[in-house]
Amino acid sequence: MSAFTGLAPAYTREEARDPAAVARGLAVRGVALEPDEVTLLLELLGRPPSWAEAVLFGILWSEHCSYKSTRHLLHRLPTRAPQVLVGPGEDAGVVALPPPCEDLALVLAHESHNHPSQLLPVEGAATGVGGIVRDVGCMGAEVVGVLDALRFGHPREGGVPARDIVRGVVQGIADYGNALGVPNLGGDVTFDRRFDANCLVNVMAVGIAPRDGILRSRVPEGNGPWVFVLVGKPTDESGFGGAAFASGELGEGDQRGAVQIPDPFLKRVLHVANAEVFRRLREQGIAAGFKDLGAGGVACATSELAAAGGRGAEIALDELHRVARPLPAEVLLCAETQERYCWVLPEAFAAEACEIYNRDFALEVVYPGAAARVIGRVQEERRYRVTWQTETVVDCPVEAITAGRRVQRPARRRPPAAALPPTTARPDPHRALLTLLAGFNVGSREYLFRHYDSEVQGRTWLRPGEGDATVVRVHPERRLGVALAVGGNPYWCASDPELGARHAVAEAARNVACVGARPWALTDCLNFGHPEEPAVMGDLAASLEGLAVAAEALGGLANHGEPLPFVSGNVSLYNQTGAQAVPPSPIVLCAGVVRDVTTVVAQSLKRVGDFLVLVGEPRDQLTGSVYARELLGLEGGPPSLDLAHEAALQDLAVLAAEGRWVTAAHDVSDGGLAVTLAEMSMGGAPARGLGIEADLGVLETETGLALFSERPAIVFEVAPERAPVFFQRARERSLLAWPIGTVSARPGLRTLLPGGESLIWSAEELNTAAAAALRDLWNEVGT
Amino acid sequence: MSVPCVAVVQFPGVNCEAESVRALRRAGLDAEIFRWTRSPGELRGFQGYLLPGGFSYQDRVRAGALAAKDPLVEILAAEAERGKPVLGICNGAQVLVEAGLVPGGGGVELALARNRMPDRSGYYTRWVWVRIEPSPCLFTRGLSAGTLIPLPVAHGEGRFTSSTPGRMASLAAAGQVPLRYVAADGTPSEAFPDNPNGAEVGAAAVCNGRGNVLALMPHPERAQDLGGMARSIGGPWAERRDRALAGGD
Repeated sequence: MSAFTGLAPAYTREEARDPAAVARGLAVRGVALEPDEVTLLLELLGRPPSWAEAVLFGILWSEHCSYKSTRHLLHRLPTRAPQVLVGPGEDAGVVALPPPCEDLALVLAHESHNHPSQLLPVEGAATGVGGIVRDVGCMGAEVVGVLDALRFGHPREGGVPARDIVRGVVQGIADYGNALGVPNLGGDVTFDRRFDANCLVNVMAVGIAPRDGILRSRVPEGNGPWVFVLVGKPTDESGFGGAAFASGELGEGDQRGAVQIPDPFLKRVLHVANAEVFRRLREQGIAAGFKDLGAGGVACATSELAAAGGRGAEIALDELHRVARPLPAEVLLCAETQERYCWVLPEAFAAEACEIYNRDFALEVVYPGAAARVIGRVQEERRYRVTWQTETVVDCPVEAITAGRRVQRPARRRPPAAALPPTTARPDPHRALLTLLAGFNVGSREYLFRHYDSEVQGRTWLRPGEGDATVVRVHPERRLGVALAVGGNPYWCASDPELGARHAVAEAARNVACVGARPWALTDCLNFGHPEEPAVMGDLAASLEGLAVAAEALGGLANHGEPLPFVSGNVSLYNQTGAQAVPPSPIVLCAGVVRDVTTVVAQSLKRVGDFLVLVGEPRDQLTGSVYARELLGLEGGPPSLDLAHEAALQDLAVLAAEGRWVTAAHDVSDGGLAVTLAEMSMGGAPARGLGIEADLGVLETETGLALFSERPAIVFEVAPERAPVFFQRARERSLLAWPIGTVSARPGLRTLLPGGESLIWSAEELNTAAAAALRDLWNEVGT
Repeated sequence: MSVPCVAVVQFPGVNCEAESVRALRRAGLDAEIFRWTRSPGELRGFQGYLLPGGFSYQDRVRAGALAAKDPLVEILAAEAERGKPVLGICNGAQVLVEAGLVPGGGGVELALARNRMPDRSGYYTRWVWVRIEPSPCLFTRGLSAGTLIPLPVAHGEGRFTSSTPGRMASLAAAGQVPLRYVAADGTPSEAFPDNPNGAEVGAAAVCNGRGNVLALMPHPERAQDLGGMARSIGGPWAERRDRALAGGD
């Protein structure tokens, strides 16, 4: 290969006789090729690789991009259902919507930005949001919401660093989302020592696209001729090696260079300009491919666009708009400079598209050096070639790029969780509820989410904190809404990954059903430790089994007899420092559909005299409860979950909302029935002079179980005149339904206990306790 | 007379232009996004102007500072001088204050300083209560003084203040504070979160002497549908919403 005479290869055939030594040498220079990959690359190319090729394949075959340890396991998840238009494999999943929005499609994406956020919380979290909105944007969608599921170390025992990560991550998410003009639609947060050294920052994005205007990440059919157009920030060295950084343990040394630089201001202008290009493409019926630049930068984006379209590519690095300082070819090719997209456009339209970015939206003025430039051409010959000055720095068969990698990892399943040891210890229930509410894991999240703009775009119907899910309208003049909620209890997944994963899906779907929406699609992110450890792979396989079994049982409200499909997701491994891996953390987003937003059901109480009805599993277990863990110091596995019963419960919740029989609904989760009733009496109720008068004698169980058992259930507010039809529908679904009280004209929570004594919590007492934890976290300094 | 057309001025970095156009059209006006790269002269052809919320020019120097120097704002000042209505919402309000169009007539007198809140700093989002005050303001002409309205606020720098002590109070006395943050029962309140940012005299908006230029921090374009109102809102507005929802509108 004459073209290579000028450049020294990354390693020679002779050196490759000792692949382990070559791998060690490459690692020092930030290239992550495993020994067997050193040999494989030599065979695929038929010659020693150039530096750019070694970097490219190091990224393509990294755990982050190739899913090599898990791809074959992910097939267990159900991904097919009538509403799925684009399943896993592209940047985002796409699902069809029912009338009156059959002309529109819902786009969902879910990613993790864990390592970068642990290192640089503000930039790491901000670029996580920046990346996930690109994944949705590149499908031709308008981004209408972002959510964040966060797992942090313990703010007190983890000391100042843990608190700084919390404050930095929330600031990064707020600064990016607020400036971009995308509303934050909730999520969740958990604090535990096992996340001290490895926080989890999962970000999710939601978009709306015309159903017949979805853009795919590939060269379209037809012979073009097609060109690649790179749009956005000038390429620099930031984030170089980001994919490799995410595919290994957080090392000592200074890895901050691998964290990318966010710019929501430029992104906002890019998204407005993208919308104009979408409009013209659709108006003129022009085919196009579109992809965001994430891991692996220009190399991964252009190679995947070509490979997915079954074509080759010729990329000229000289054409890239870049920073003035000289950069080596492999950095230009693989750096993860933020805020960039890559189009595949017919050559005839390329100039017009570049004019939109460069002239109409004056990218150069918005960000010095930003532009839209043609950087290469699609080739019919299935070769991927990259040139730099007079050299060919990459020349490989397209198949090598899409070959993918698989690594068999031994797995060892965890022994079943020890049962909760029997105990008759019962701290004073009045103080117990206040202690739980004042804890980091059950307290109010209001202090946190008021940093976020949850109203921009004017679509928000149910805001964070107002219901078990958030709801936005899909089209300003139509009543169809989309509900969003996340699920995933790290304590349950740590004690029993399979059952814990079932609960993750059930909880997310139940939250969506509580507001009256039909669970429609799922996304997931699997956050685990080192794949080289059999216990980690065992937990992962068990979690996948649990996610699959629950999804297969809970899809009936969208399509009878169909699963709830996973349409997009991500795997994040190496969330481990030394021996301490994060608890197995499958985090699930459920998107639901409500045909008429005026039927949406919030959490807060509505009318004096209405009944409160508990529907679901009996209060007979304390295992897995926050009460047992935080007040009794006992763990045990998760509470049991009957999926058929859960499906019936969700069916009742949706039917009740659509029939307008219920005026409030809130599920029983962390902290049990006591926390559920407290939260219902705190929301909008005090402002409306409403409270709860409960009588738990009907539950026929002792106080501790009645108040703090976390077995799945929902509390509904039902008008007396609607109660008969409500109880009838519950009976038809063989659901247990207990009338546990009424809405009273006195704010606060008053409960008559099974034993006959009564407990009283004032609204102020509850609000003060619930607000304490996060307010103190943000204001504590020192130690 | 054809329907008057409002230019929604799109500086780079604004992000509320789409819902602002929708709100103007629902109010019976015509509206169009005016991109900052269009030739400034074309702006004169519109009958009114709206500066939407967002982060124009990335809040460089100060929120609204760069946009205030944009040639388009010079034209807005001239058209406002001729009596055309100019409404600045959130970031748009910051631009009008930085350009001295509000309170008008005397250069830059006010600032929208960082929110002052107990136990927290930075960006803050909430639905608050505002009360209509007696004022020559064009935009509140259809509402009688004393009317209570719930509106969403979302900003990091919304505290109306002035380097001249007593200036804000004098503006209020002159009727140039047409909306004030109040408690749910309508009584004036300096307490957070009724007053979400510590604005002097509880100012949620300030207009010029003539009343045709208004700098407004809350976002009315986000409160177009009764059903989407925050669930924490009680009183007659909540009853109005519940009746509307029961009727399905």
